Amino acid sequence: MSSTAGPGSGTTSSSEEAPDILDTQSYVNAASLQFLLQELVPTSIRVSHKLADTNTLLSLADKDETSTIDKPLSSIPNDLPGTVNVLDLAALDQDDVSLRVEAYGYTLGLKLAELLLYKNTRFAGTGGPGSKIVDILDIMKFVCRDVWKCLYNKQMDNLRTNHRGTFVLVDNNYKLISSLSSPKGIHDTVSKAKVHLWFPCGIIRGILKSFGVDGNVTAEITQFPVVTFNIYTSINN
Amino acid sequence: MSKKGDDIWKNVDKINSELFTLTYGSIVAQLCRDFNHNYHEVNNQLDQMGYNIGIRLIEEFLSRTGAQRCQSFKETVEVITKLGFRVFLNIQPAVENWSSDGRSCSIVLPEPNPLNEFVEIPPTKDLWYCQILCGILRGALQMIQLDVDVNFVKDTLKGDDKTEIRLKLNKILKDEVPAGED
Repeated sequence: MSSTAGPGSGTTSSSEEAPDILDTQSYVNAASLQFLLQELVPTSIRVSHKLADTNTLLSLADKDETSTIDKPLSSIPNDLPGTVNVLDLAALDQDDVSLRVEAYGYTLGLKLAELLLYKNTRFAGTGGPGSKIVDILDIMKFVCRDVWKCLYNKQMDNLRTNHRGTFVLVDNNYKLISSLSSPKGIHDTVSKAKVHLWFPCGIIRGILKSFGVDGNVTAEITQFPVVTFNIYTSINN
Repeated sequence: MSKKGDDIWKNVDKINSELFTLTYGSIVAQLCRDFNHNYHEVNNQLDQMGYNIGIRLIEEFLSRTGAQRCQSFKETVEVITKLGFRVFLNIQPAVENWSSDGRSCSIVLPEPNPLNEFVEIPPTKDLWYCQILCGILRGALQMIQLDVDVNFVKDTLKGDDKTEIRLKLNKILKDEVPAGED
């Protein structure tokens, strides 16, 4: 209860006022996030599969079990640790899986917008734009610059609009899927990569929502790994 | 070894730790909703995710660090905390509570860490919020022929005084050529 001070720190007490936790920037390895995101789709498939099973209410776990190398991860055929057989399940195209992946992104997007706006105003002098966001085009620029920079250490490569509420954002080398490769060839890679794209779609929709804008976001792989995001809003700009 | 960890850390691609924290939080929250707050099921899913990650992560780890075969389990745990956690999560947990036979010990995570920062969980005894770490450790160690039990025993999110992972070495697996592949 009383151990609120971090172990071995002891520096916080010397400064007069503890610095706001958001004023300091800490980092983790980008690979860690990449590993985590790679598991999003397989987990969504397993969850959907499990919940779709009509007997699921009876079969949900009532104790913690540990994974081992020879124990299947789900009742999906050949779903053993370290394999990608789960992606072969026809359920890959099921709306349920897409919705789940999209929801992971959406909740992240909602919170990410707040965090980045706060940091941008604080760090206005350090290269961040820190500029005011007044209309929908500013929000899109915010997505292209700040959000993409935070997520992928790069900016979106292209932004187009028809000035009637539709925006097209292009990333020429989308990181989340660029390392995917199927032994069955590029066609298979593209079809399996598609479902991963619901995650960034959800992020963008979440960001828009946090600015009070309802939007519809879809993505397509124009030429692997080029990804085009289509955003439809009801706002004329 | 800490120095080596620092050097490797300087050269890796980095991202905001908050982004990582929020992403992980969004996953756990969604799993809780999906399984209607059946926390055992959530733990198991996190453990599976971790196990899969661990199996792949060990390769990245070995290529980044060039770590060589350890002489003892003690050395293994030292590599895990001083290189593994340092290079991937930029934290260095403490190691405590070695058993007399040197086969089990505890890893104590610093507070806050990139997984549980800003996090509050509903009052439950069942959810192990950072369970993914156990899966990762177990999966990665399995790949280097170590059969190890890894599980949480304490979590500050539940009001404990520290966040503690218990490791127990079961056996060292033999390198074996699969039948018919000699």
